[in-house]
Amino acid sequence: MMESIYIMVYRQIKRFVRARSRIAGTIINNVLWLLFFGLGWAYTLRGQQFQVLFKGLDYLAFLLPATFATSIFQASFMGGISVIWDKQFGFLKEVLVAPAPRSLTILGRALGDSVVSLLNGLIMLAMGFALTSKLNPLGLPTALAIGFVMAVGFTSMGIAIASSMRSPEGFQLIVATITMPMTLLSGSMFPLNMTPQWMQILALISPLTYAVDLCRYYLTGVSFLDMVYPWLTQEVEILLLVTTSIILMIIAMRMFEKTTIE
Amino acid sequence: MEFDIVVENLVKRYGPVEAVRGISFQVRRGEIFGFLGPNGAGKTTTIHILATLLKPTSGKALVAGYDVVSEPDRVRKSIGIVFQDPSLDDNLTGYENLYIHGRLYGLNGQSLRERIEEALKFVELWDFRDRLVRSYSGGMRRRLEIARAMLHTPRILFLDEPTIGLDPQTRAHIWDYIKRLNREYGTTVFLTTHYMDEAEMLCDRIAIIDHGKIIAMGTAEELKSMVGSDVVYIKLGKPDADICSKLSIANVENCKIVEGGTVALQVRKATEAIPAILLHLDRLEVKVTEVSYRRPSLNDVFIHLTGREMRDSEGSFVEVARMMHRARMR
Repeated sequence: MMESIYIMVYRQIKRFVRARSRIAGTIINNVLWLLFFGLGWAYTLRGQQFQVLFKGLDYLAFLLPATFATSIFQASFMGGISVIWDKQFGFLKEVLVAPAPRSLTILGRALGDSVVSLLNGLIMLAMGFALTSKLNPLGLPTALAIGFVMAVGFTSMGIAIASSMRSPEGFQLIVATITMPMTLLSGSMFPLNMTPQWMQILALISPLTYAVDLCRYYLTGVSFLDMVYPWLTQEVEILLLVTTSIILMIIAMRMFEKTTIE
Repeated sequence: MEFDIVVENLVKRYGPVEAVRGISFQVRRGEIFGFLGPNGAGKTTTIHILATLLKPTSGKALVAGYDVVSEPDRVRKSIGIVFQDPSLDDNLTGYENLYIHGRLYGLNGQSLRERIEEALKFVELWDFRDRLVRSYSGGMRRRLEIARAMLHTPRILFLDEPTIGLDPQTRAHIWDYIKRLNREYGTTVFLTTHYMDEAEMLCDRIAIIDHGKIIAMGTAEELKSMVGSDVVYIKLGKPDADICSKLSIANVENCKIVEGGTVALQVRKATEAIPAILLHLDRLEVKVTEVSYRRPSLNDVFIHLTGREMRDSEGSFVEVARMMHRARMR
């Protein structure tokens, strides 16, 4: 049983390591984002008055843990596209005709892709530690664990959508329409407690919001949600995140079971 | 008689379209069985049903003794398959492709390494094992797929158009692998093809399929005997107007003087009739300078059954047989 999971993790990671251009692309993207967006706002919001807004954090320290979460989110979600590539290039048939249970091969695949997106996030975070001294290295293991849980959830979401799709273009369209609002609403770039109520409610529907808040809390000690919603403790957030990830994973397994090669 | 594949009244419908329209056949243990038919005849659909990738609309199919609908896992363990379209991971090496396959089929450790080496050497790709599949040629990919399909020593091997789009020499190689797999490992082979030469060259028995129905089944010889007899042409040393009366022996069904000193004899089986005819002529002291014969091809059979021609675009039988011979000599 572990066999089928392991071998798909092996395959996904092996493919990632082979794709040097993809790795280079990720790093360049991250650098550009941090440089032009992060530093730009960090300089703009330098004054004392903004310290209050960010609860004593500077903007980079506010942004970086969140970017760790959102970059994992985007990479994970996008990972589903490889299911469509496999459909087009035929490798999917090889997996479907194998005696290994499909639910386990897809689970292995989701885990493998999660490790890959976690690596993406780590690259981002490594640069963060270089740029600001406000991040707490002791929170790193917890942040990584949270990153992994959300990666599994969103990879599963990507796989579930990809399982029922045929063309990479269609998938990309869906990904774009889902990832952008979720990323903007997650509170990664501005403090959610300042936004209007309706926006906060929308934000609370998305599991990414919890992931962002959790990563920020464990890496800087500041949460922007629990002051507005006292019931939303870290424990509750973790519970919500883990539950959503598990549900998404089960959906992905079900959807993949039904995939055909027609 | 032990059967590895038993199909009864199999139907597959896509909406209003019936791709497979109630076919029945059996494949014996250790035989090479072929589905011959034009594109769109329902060959791939049938193979996908037998490989548990598609559910039949109705009918029954047993593969290795297991029902493809109710026991797909057991079927999957017993079969290897080479799809018509490529199904390799381009971004991995040949070795890694086989390694992943082996693990998915429950092999591991030393025995998996040995199996990979054996399979890669079997298709002569061992020297290319660490190259990315992306850099493989079409023929190499097909060979790698065969190596992969045989890796877990399946009891039954499915091949969907195994040599489509390949050059004659590569086709000859692939045929050789398939025959050796069948001979050396006792693997039962079920293949589909739209090449007559391929069906004739490889298959112990052939089912001709058209528009989702099996329209004839048997050995190549049996199928050809459906359209009639062989014709033997004998060129005599000197013209002889009475030759036909001299040749009224058991094997000859009909005799006609074609032109000059050549006589056309209709016989049931040329290979058996020729020695008898020659012996007879020798006794009568009639000098023979040349003997040839023509037999009906599978194409003639298809035309006979459907009134249409089945397109056979690549490599005639003789040409490829020659290639194969040459390849083996090397």
